[in-house]
Amino acid sequence: MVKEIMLAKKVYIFPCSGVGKVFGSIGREASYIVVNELAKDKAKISCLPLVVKGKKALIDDINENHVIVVDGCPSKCSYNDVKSATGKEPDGQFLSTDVVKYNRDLKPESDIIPLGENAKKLSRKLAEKISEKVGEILDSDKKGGA
Amino acid sequence: MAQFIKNKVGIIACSGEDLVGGTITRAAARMVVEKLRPDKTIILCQPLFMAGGLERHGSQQERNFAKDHPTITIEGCDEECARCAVERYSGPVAATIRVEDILKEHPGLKPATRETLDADGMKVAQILAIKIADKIDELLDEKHEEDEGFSDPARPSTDVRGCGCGCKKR
Amino acid sequence: MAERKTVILPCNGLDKALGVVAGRAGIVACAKDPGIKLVCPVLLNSGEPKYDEMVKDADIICLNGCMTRCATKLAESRKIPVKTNLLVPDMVKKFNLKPGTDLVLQTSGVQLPEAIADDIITSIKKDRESMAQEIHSIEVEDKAEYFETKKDKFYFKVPKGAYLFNENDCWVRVFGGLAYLGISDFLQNQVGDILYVDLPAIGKEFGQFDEAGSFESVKSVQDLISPVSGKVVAVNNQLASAPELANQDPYHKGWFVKVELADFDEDKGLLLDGPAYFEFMKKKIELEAKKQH
Repeated sequence: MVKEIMLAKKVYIFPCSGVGKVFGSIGREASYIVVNELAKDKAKISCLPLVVKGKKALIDDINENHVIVVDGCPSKCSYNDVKSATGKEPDGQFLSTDVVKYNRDLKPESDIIPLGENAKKLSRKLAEKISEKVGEILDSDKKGGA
Repeated sequence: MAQFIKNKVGIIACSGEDLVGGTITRAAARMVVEKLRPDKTIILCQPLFMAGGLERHGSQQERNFAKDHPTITIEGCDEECARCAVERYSGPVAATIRVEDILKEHPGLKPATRETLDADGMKVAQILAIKIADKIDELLDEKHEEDEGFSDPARPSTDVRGCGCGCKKR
Repeated sequence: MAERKTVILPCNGLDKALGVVAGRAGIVACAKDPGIKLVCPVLLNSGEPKYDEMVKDADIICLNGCMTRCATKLAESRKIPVKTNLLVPDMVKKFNLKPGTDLVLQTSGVQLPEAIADDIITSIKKDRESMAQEIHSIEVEDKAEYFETKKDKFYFKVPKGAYLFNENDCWVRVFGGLAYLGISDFLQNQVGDILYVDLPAIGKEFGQFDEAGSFESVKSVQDLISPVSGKVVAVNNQLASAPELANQDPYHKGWFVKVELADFDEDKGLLLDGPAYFEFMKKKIELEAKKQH
């Protein structure tokens, strides 16, 4: 039991947090819902700029654990930044625009601070998908350790 | 000293998520671009800046702007990631403005939550936004009077509405 | 883009040799090319969904035995768009093979369906090659040069040749009697990230400057205003799952609609070539910048 706790990996979530478009903020909001509520104590958000800057302690920790990237647009900045800084293929990738595409009745407002009602609902939907992925990743760890 | 095209200023907020400072920089950047100096600023998206921008423009869209125009970096903590990114990919920054300096000047303000700004966090963002706006005026040799009262807590709504890509469409 | 299927709809003329030839030609074509399907006119006329499904989104070739043109009339009554209407009497002249009047086909009567079938297959093959070439041309970035201008951190480009534009910032690129339509780099930049694209139905006809589809971003819903008059023969289904193609590659992979041109000689007089559109676009950019100040 103690050994399991010591070996338990966590999942880093890196939203792109792009400030130019609402999709970056949707991804960010979704990431916070995951770490604060849906996958509390299993996932954590950290600082993407610090990863790109090359902060060794953070990069080493990322490589020891799992990582999910959440991007706001097809430029996939979070994916590209994490991959080039760590050399690691993320364990999961999400695109905010995908959740928008399949929920046309919830077309987001362009407001960013604060997010509009539709944008918040989309964030929740995206968060549910991300937290499912967190669960899958950690379950797979347990099975691998069994 | 870099020779810049002095018609617009780029602002790049660190957008970091480790501390509330990152969230304050995002809010302040949007306030400047949407309310205070909408026709004088271009927001440069930090993750896009680091990733290089759209392939079809040779991955240089954001970085080229920062090469040719004065660019202010807004830092959420002492790591100063935005400044490092601009210096690495474009050139010297025109100015760096730090959240921690605002906090030192206003010890009574204690923003707590990094996910969504609380009342103190929004006040810090407003003060920071005015500081950025003043710096923009200095860089463009211009003067504005209308910022007075912007950080007045009695003023309603710090909502920043609209798309920040530069089109001003809502 | 997925290859469209070909379906032959023969008439049901069993009381004349030419009607029998029409039916036989359809059977021979299907036997020679398994990619071609045959639909029974009687069953299609029954209105059963499974036969409607068979002809949906297909290239329909109507084979008429005589001037009554029953196959064509059937397609029209069922509102099925037809790619090609063939008349057996015309084929008789083309191949100089007269079947006679005997309903049991003899000699020329046997050779004629074979010749018609081969002709259909050759024509389909040419269309597919031409389509593949067109798709390659339209979807692959050619080495054509672009005019380019910049405003702040935004770049705008316009192809120097091959494309014509209307003042609604939509383009047309012509390949013979067909053309592709799309939106310009300037327009995609203006609207922002495109989330949804609504494309017209195959067979829809429209005039120059009519709507030929629409697209929606976070900021707005806009119409693709067609630079030409024509009839829709294909749409870019990739835009349903990847609407961002219209932003990322507006002149190639982001094409919206392919049309059969109705009157291009007339239409082109009202369009701008690359250099003219580039100047027009630059003025628009300056005007937009002034509005925002």
